[in-house]
Amino acid sequence: MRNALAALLTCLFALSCSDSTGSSSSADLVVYCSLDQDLSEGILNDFEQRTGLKIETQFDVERNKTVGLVNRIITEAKNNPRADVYWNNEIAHTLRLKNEGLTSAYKSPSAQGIPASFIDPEGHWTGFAARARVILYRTDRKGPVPNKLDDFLDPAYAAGGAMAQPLTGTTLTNATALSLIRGNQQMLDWFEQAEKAGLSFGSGNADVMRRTCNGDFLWCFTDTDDAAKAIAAGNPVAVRYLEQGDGSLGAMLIPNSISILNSGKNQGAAKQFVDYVLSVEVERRLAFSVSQQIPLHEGVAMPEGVAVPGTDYQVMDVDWAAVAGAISDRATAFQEAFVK
Amino acid sequence: MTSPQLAVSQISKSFAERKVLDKISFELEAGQRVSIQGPSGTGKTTLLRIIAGLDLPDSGKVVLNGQDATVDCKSLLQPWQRNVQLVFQDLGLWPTRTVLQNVTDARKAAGLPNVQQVAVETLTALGLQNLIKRKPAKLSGGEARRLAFARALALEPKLLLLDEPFASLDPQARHSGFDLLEQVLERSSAAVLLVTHDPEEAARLNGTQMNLSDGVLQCQ
Amino acid sequence: MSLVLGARSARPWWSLAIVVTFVAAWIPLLPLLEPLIRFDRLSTMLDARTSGLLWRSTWISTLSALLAIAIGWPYAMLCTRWRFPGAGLFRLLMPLPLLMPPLMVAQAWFGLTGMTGISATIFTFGVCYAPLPALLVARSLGKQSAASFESAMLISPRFAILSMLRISLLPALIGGGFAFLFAAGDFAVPDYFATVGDLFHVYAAEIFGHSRNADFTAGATASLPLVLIGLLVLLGNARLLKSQLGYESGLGRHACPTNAKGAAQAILPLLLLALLAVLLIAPIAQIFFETGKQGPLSERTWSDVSRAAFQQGITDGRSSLVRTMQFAGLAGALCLLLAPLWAHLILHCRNRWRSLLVILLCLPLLVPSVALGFGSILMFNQPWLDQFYSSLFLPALLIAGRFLPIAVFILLDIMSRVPDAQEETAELAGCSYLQRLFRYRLGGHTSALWLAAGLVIAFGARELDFAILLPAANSSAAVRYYNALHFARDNFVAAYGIILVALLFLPVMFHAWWQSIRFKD
Repeated sequence: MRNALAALLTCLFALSCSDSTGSSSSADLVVYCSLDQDLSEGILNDFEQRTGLKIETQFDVERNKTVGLVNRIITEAKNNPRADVYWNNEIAHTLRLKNEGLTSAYKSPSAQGIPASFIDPEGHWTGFAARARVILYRTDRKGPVPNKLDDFLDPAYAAGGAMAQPLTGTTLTNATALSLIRGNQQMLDWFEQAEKAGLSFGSGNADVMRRTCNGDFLWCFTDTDDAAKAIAAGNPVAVRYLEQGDGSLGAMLIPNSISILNSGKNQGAAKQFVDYVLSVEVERRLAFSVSQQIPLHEGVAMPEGVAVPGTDYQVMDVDWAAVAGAISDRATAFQEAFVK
Repeated sequence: MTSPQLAVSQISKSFAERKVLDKISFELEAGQRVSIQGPSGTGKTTLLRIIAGLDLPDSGKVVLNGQDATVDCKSLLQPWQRNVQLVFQDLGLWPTRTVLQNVTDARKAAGLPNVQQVAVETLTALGLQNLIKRKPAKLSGGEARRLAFARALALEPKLLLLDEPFASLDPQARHSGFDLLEQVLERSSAAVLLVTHDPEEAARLNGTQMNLSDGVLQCQ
Repeated sequence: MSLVLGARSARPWWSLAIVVTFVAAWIPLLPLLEPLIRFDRLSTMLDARTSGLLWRSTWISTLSALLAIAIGWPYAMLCTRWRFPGAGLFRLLMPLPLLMPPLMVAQAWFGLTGMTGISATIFTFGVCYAPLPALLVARSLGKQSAASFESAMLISPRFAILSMLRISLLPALIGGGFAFLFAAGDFAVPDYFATVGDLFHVYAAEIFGHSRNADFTAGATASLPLVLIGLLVLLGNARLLKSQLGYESGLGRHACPTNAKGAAQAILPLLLLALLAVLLIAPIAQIFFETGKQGPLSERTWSDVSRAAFQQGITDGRSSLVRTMQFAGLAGALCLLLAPLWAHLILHCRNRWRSLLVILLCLPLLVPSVALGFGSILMFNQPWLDQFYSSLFLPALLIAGRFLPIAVFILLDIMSRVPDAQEETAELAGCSYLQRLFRYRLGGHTSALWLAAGLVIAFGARELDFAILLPAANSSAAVRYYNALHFARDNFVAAYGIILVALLFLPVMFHAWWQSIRFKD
């Protein structure tokens, strides 16, 4: 018995010491990542294999839609900062970190070829691998499918449609960008009218997509990555880009973004990692993933049937700095309007 | 002048509002036999447990071989430091250990020498030599009782406490039980304190008889 | 080492258990006490919206507990006290639904029926936690004195059944109480049903919401009302348990199952099969079906998609599974040492101290898991604790601390049935404390020890909420499952769920198999 217990205690000690992912003190790099774990994990592992560096990753949950990790970085910065790099699956909240003075400037050589509108002039963040805001509609049912945002206000369209509440994620970013163009109160009125017209509001893009595939709705307003999954699963659905044609806004493109945090203890490794993630190779890999993320580097191959932004559809111009400046206030306003 | 093997002085113990032992005092010389008789629920087992160090009194003192073992509700000697063995009413055999292991385990734990040899000798003396590989569950009632005595004897105690050792036996088994006890006591120089509710059992120990009633101990 | 392990006194070991539990379970709870010194926090917790959510969570959990009793009680009664073909199998499968991640059950029932909203939440909790009353009812019926049952039989069979109902009422209520506790602290299931259907909020989701703002102190303090409600339920349970002990017979013959005769031989298995279908078969079958489910335009067959999903589940999810089993296994190993020490300590405590210790021990189980995560971040994310904070040891300690009461109660039940004399004889002989505890008190019951550790591992492996927050547990299987579900990776999620469930079922199935072998011997 004595031997068994001694063995048990030794095992406990050995197990606690054998940490497959390493601790932050022994890890060479700490990455906070809000891109889907299934998509990002392989990239992180490849980087580890190539460089021999050990990464500790903290993933967010979809429910928190980026906001959780951003707030965590802000909170930890006051106490015990841990992250070296923040990989965001959208962009507005990365700019929030810049505005809080938590990011450091780094102009990665890998960013060459990405349009300037997706790169911070000071180098605090870089955008890559984007998603577009689109309409996903059922091809097996007849009914009107919107071509422009104001179609959402028409009961003929709205009754069969759904979108996520603009409280988090890309829907919030999209609504914030639109409110900068249309005005804050106008945007709130727009949502109110859409709801009155019969538009349904779900909790997330994946959920409205899933319910459209299940036949609850004729169409939904979602992201291209969710649409790609629905099509790949063999559902009778197709994609339509909003606001196309002369004088129209164009479809909104929301990229992933990456930045180095100035409180990180591993700046060298962080730069190496940013260079890797911004490479053409990683963009191509994300393009051919189930999410079919849209590459921002020029000339990167894309899967067959995926529309090319700027060529196949018009893209909306966005002032990202302005969006980042407004997003917190907009989130509060939408929260008050939607959470009852 | 040598100290008594056991000196119990002014021991009191209550459970809730009920006083089961009220200023009990007595002494036991080395090799002396004492039986305490009293109806069920009068605190006989509690008294043995206090002497063995398994329970604490509310007040009073237990002195073993001149050394304070328990003073009021403080235990100065741990149960294993008292050189006392208690044969429990339900025997307390270790069901997962064999007959031999029940004895060797105990002797080994007590740090006594010649573990195997003494264990086999003791078991042989009590007629258990052919059963040493059995588990207690496979023993008859009488054999199990022999094993309990063998284990206690193998520890060479200075004081042997017996708690109703033959309580659940029929008259015939009880008779042979006393023969066994005689056999055991012949092999040991230990002082013996036996508690029982049965006057016949108390008498057959051939020692000093006392009576415990309403928490008070009286010599017969 | 030998000197320490050879110590004869119990006190150093009990102190060790208390110190480890203090670190594992009580330190992360300290931030919960803040409202007691900051009244502004207290007033926020009492505003109309918050108290409305609390009320909603309370009645959802109450209805879930009642449903768990309604399913678990008859199930346990039928398969424990009647003998018919397959009764043993039904008994064997009884605890398994408890090990299925509730989120997976929710997903399965949504897929099967399309149900959403509060009613779906109540149904899911009822189904998931039905084994709690069932297990306690089965245990209590197994201990009914044969004499009491047979004397009731001599009056009339109806009276005998009434005697069974009477003896199993309190265990059913106690099991329901525990179902209430688990349901009240769970945010993932209501959140799932709110996302696939009409939106609604519960109090646990409100607590989780604080992680979005990274306001961990607010999150920890917000869970105080739930803890207080849980404490009330626990105290009620303790009272019921005390009454129940009077009904059970520790000694003597226990009532045996009655042979089912005539039509009952067919009806009883069918009834149990129907209940088992709701508890286990339907959800697992649906999830299995979803591993290969595709839209009508898909050119791939069900089996191709399903195979690919399982392959992906193993390749992509393996590291998370390994990680999960590492910290859950570590927690189980810790409980192998801690639970016997605690059970022994409680066994030797006097009444008042015993109640206090039981309450302290149960506190981490009453706190929503996410609040335990908040507390850990607040207390352990310190520069000088970096190594510990991001090591496997932290989630393992938290799991051990949270589920320790379950292991302790299993061992307490076993230990209290072992005659004290066995251990006391060893004490008089001078055996070391650990020998007395493990060899002479628990010696014949090692399978209970393994069951206790196995349950801690199973509960730890399905633990989601604090795993989301803690770096060392963040890449766990439960978090991956939760994320994949919300990212609409339906085939992968289903296959991964099946793999996870198989892993969780293993310890229990192994224990049941081991017990049956021992029983035959």
